[in-house]
Amino acid sequence: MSMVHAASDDGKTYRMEGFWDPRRIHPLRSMILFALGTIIGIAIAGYGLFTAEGTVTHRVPPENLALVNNRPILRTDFIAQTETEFGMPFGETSREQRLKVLDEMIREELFVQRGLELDFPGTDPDTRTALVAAVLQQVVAEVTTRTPSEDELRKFFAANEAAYASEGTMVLRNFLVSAGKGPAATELAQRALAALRAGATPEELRSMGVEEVVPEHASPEQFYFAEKVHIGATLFDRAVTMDSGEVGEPIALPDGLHILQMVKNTHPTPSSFERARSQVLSNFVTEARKRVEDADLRYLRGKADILIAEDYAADYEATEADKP
Amino acid sequence: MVHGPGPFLRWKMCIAAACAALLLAGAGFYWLSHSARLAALMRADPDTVPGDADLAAFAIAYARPVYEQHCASCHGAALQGDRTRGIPALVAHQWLYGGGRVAEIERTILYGIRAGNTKTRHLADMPGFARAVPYPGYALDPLEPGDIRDVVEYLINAAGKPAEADAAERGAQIFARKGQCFDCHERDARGDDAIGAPSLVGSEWLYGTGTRQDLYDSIAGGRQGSCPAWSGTLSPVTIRALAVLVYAASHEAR
Repeated sequence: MSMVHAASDDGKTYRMEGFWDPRRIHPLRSMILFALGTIIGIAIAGYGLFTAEGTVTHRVPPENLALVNNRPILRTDFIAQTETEFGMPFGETSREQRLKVLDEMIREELFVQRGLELDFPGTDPDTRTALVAAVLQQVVAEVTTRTPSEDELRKFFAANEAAYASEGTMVLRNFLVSAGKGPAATELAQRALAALRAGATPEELRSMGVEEVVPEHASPEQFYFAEKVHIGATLFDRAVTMDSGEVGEPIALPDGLHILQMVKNTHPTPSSFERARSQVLSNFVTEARKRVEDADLRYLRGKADILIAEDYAADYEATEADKP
Repeated sequence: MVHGPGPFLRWKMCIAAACAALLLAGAGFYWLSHSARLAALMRADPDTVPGDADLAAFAIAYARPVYEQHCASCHGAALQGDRTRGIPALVAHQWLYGGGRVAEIERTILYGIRAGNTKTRHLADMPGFARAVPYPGYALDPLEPGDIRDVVEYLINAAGKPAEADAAERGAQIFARKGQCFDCHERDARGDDAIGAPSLVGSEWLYGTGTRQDLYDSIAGGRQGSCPAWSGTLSPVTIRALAVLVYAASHEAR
């Protein structure tokens, strides 16, 4: 084997003997390998950093149909999109139709990625609105999909039992002694009251000059909330306490004296847990979602650096302090 | 003085090594074969999987423990559902969403029903007509108690059971006009599986057993059932296998 020498700038000579022998330690070989590794590493990193192609994998996992800059297009989404677009089961669509959908999905993915590069979420109002909605959905997804235990639901039901009563209904007659009758109105109202308590019919009261107020297009039996809209809060508050068959004392309102006759008052009846369960579950989830949303917002605020202009800072901080 | 292993011990070591190699090869082969079948299940058109007996059997066996772990607590060990909680039987003949194809079942498992994601099935809710605001976000007037009872009679009559004729006639009008029930449940009350509106004239009920009280409760209080989205929790191939399991169970029941 011939002797090889390498000359350095300072005139020193390094012996190349043993450079190719892996059993021997050779400083020059170590340096060269180190430099080579560094150059290759930087080249790979640079290729990956500055071109999306540098980071792709060449194998598409079975659950995906394509990878666009490493972003997957799921087969399930592709199938749903194809069925929606052509209005037929996936199995009945042609190869051409499927390829068309695939091309559209790749096109969409490319534009979405370009949109992110152009920072549309930072500037475009529609994108921002959609983003807020999507983040909120994501935040509450876990509580929305979690199935609470029966014990949790029963506790929630027990804490809010009144909310699960059936809606009360009433059949109510509302007679009006018009304010236009002047001082005689009070006396007329007393006579009408006595007549009603004696079993007079609405026709008999009409003959006395007392009209029944009948809401347009309304059936006699009404849910509480609807009757409240029809007769107003003042009359309703009195009516809801009346028993079936009871005739109440005249109530003075700006339009005259009202006499209420409760034909039938069906009070709300508490539901059993079993009967109200679906509503309990719905309310439980709604409340949990609200709690999670609030907690998430508090967390985001807590870690954010929010700087408010001087002319708004004090007022804004005051409103923030009021929040739970 | 040190002795090496005797000839007998050497033989035993050789046999043990061969057994280990065989075992490893077997495990490797099983893993490769299992992976290949999972990939085949995922790459197949979902609706064709039940037609491939081997692949369907593989999917069902693969999905069974997952079903027991994640789904049985609501849908029941025998996929029978729970009518008291509005949880549909997966062996029923009627489907809330779609016609029960594997691809449709898979989509429901992936993204859930009212599960709070953008792809979830949630196009409509059943309003509660005995509320001041039956359906937030859509202008809909409440019904009166008598209206609800009339609609109940209409539905009882439509299901072929004895009902009060006058009330049923009035109920039909309310169904088609004031209540706007037809908008989701269609004019013939047979439902719309595109939006998850169930048929109201079939023999299968999601809530209760179709009694007057059950119907009244649903109309008065509204219904909004939900199903979790399993995308992200279970792998796509596991969800595909579950869809095949549910499809198979629903067809066995026929």
